[in-house]
Amino acid sequence: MVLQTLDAMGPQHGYGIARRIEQMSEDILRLNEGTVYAALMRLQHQRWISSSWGTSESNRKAKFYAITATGKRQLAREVEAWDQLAGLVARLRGAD
Amino acid sequence: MLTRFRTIASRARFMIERRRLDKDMRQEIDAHIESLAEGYRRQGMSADEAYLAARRQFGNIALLRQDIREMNRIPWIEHTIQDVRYAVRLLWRAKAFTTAAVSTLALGIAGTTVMFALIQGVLLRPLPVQEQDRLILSWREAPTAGSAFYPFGDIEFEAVARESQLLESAAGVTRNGVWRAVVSDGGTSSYASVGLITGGFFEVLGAQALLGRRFTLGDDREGAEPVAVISHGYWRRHFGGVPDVIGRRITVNEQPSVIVGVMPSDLDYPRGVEIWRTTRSIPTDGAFGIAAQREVNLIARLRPGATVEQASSELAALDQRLATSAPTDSLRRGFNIVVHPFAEVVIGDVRRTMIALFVAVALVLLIASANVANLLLMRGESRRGELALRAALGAGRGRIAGQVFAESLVLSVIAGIAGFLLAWVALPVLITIVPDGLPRIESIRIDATVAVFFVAVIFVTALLAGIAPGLFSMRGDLVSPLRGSSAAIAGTSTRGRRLLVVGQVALAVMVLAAAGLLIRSVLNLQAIDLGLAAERLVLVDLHLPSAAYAERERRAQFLDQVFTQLEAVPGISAVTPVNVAPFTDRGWDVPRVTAEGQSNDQAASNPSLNLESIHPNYFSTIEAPIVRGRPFSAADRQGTVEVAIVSEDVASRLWPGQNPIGKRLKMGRVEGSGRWLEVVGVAATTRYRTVTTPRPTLYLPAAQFQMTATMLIVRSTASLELLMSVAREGIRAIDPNVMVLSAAPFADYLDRPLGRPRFNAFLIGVFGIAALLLSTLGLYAVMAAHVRQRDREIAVRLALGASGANVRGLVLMEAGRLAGLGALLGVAGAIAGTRFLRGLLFEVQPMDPVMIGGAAVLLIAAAALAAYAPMRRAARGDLVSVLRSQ
Repeated sequence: MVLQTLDAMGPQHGYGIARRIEQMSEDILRLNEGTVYAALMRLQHQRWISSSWGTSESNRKAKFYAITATGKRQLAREVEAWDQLAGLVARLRGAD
Repeated sequence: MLTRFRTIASRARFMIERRRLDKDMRQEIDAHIESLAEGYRRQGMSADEAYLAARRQFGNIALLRQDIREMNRIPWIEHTIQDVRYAVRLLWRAKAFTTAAVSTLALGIAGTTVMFALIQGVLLRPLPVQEQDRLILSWREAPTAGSAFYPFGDIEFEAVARESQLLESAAGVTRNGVWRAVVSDGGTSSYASVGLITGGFFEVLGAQALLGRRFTLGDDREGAEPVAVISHGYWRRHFGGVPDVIGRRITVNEQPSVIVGVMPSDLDYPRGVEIWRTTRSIPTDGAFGIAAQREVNLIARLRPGATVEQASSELAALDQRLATSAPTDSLRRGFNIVVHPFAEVVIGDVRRTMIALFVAVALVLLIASANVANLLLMRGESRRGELALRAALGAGRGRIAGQVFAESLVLSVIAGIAGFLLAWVALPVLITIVPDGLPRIESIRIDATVAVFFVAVIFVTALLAGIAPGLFSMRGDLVSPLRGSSAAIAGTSTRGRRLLVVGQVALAVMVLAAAGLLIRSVLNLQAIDLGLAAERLVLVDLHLPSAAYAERERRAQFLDQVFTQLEAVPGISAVTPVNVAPFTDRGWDVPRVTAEGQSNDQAASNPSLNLESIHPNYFSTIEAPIVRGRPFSAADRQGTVEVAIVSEDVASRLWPGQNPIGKRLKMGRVEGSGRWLEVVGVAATTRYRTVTTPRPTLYLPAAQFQMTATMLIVRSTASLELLMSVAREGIRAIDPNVMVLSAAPFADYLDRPLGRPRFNAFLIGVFGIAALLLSTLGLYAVMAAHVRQRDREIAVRLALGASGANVRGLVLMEAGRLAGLGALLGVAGAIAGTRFLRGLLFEVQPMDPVMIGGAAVLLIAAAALAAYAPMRRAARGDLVSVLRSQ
């Protein structure tokens, strides 16, 4: 989800990502926003995203996360897997 | 696996930056919450409400940070770092303990590393040749006497090489080792060691020249330009390592020669060689004619897959065939071919010595480790309360053991660094004081293998010193120390310490027994009766130009002049020329001798003889007694009856129970061409040729045989310098072309064969003393702790009327038990182990009861000494103060 967000929106800071996910999920998913940071750290360990300090639109110093090339590949793999799963679920439901 | 590795790598990266990351994260979280709160404020909340709502939406900050921190670490590395830090702090606080432990370990590690560097350089590092396992050396030996060699002729080895199926290539190399020659380089003359080889030698070895070229078969043809190849060491020493040495003209024993190549360092065969020359370069008009060229051993390269045993039997068969097809040499019969791997011959007999010394020093290191283990155990006891507290607070036993182990690791690493520096300094020093005869000295250095070995030693040491304390800290009752019960403290680790001390004593007994045996050998060697009066004998080197003195008469005439000239000098009482320097183990051999009346079969069991061709004044000069008959006289010359003197052991072997005077013998077989020699005297046995064993010797008058006169033996009371100048001037007056380059007392020659045993004994003696000291220290530590632990019991005993003597006896008994058990084990170990020393011992048995028993007694005495102070403390025990301290 985070990868998807970063891929779609370009480099973002943690707050932005949280907002985006909140907005996209239309309140289906309500998580503690803090978990975003745990996810970001995990992704950094995998080297799927990179981080750098920058200035946010509200003129605050903020850390921006961007998707890396490996991250993009991983995203493509996961999207594909997800689509397959979604397609399967859709077919199974259609067969009902 | 790869992802796992990647995770560890990135964790390590994040761990290093962890502080910064943590700060970043806090900032980010703060900013995030601030942004959320701002949103809520805009929706109309108060600042406080907005902040709380933001916090609620964000979730548990502390938990999150904890999670993220966990993500960024590798627990065991952090634990290790913590343990090591803690250990360093503790050790820093206990400086005396640390110094003692580190210095003993450092000495042990340095010694082990140095010995390993020697072993690596001499035994393990490959020789600078191709595939050394395929190289063999071969010669003939008589089965009756191991010392009698018979060489291959240069023609023979060519035939052998041609006909052999198993040899890829073959060449000849002098069987006599290097010979000293006078080398002139423009104006200056000096001695150099020359080794003779045939043209294919370097090709067989697969050794390339460092500079210039190696010999080729063409250099070995009749009429080829005489060439020389020099060793790396000689190039550096004599020519300062300049590259334009190639093409230089030198003379070797007056024969011109061109230097065509420099061989790489560590190519040292024949051992000590400085200049290689071809066998053909030796003039055949010298004292031994063509024989000088022909005395070579066979060096050959086996075809891939062929074994030494196969080659040995093939060569034996070929030799049989050649002998029957061309019965040129009746002497040769009765000699069998022997084949040895080249590397074995190059390394020679030092393998055993080096391994023995290495084992000894490793044992010392083991004893030092045991000491450190002991000290750590003791500290473990005094820290029991602390450890128990840590356990109670939730530290795993593994963590506690790890922490104890970290201490021994830190100690070993510090000791290792100190030891390595010590080894670095000690190795070059040791190499310079190693007496000559250690092969391959040029290849001894601290290289990667030595470094790897050294690191391994550190970890093994850490393990040895740390494993027992670590285990004992894991075992046993961690809780009762907290209750303050001292009885529990005495628990399990006491047994561990006592075991360690028993082990130490046993190892020390073994090292000391070995040291005792080697030292005893050296003492025996020094006490040897040489059979001649070595004091006040000086050897003056003489160099007669070979062309001018080719004729025997010319040499005899010159020597006569020298005698008259020198014996007139006050302080010089006698002068006699000799062919070979004393105690060098080298000389002339008579492989086969036949007494009159013996058949060939009977003669086959005669000893092979050492041959000394001497002047009439030989025996009187060296003061070796003639026990029967007469010495040679001037009347024993060409044209008169050919005479001989034999040593006592020859007489008793050849003519047991009879008077040998007037008996006859001949060199070679009964039908051989040798003439009968009449025995006119029997000389006492001397050790002129070999110090360790008297050699059965045949003496011939030089006038009837041969005199190369490479040195003069002078009996003199004058100082060496005076003698040198007198000899120089006197001889210059007779013939300015004869050179006198050096002079040395007999004692110097005696130092050479004794040098190595002495050096070995010195080293192992040092190890022995170290072992003794270390184990005494160990014993003392254990006894002191023993008394401390039992102080309450002892105090009660004293209070109830036990005498001081009773208590002292109690302590002494404990020390005696430990040392006695250790000594017993040590004696068993020594009996099993010292057999390995057999080849190194002289006139003392490996299981010599005096030496092994002596080592055990020494250790028990040391134990008594170690128990002395604790014993006195125990006897002074005072119940009140002891009870008060509880």
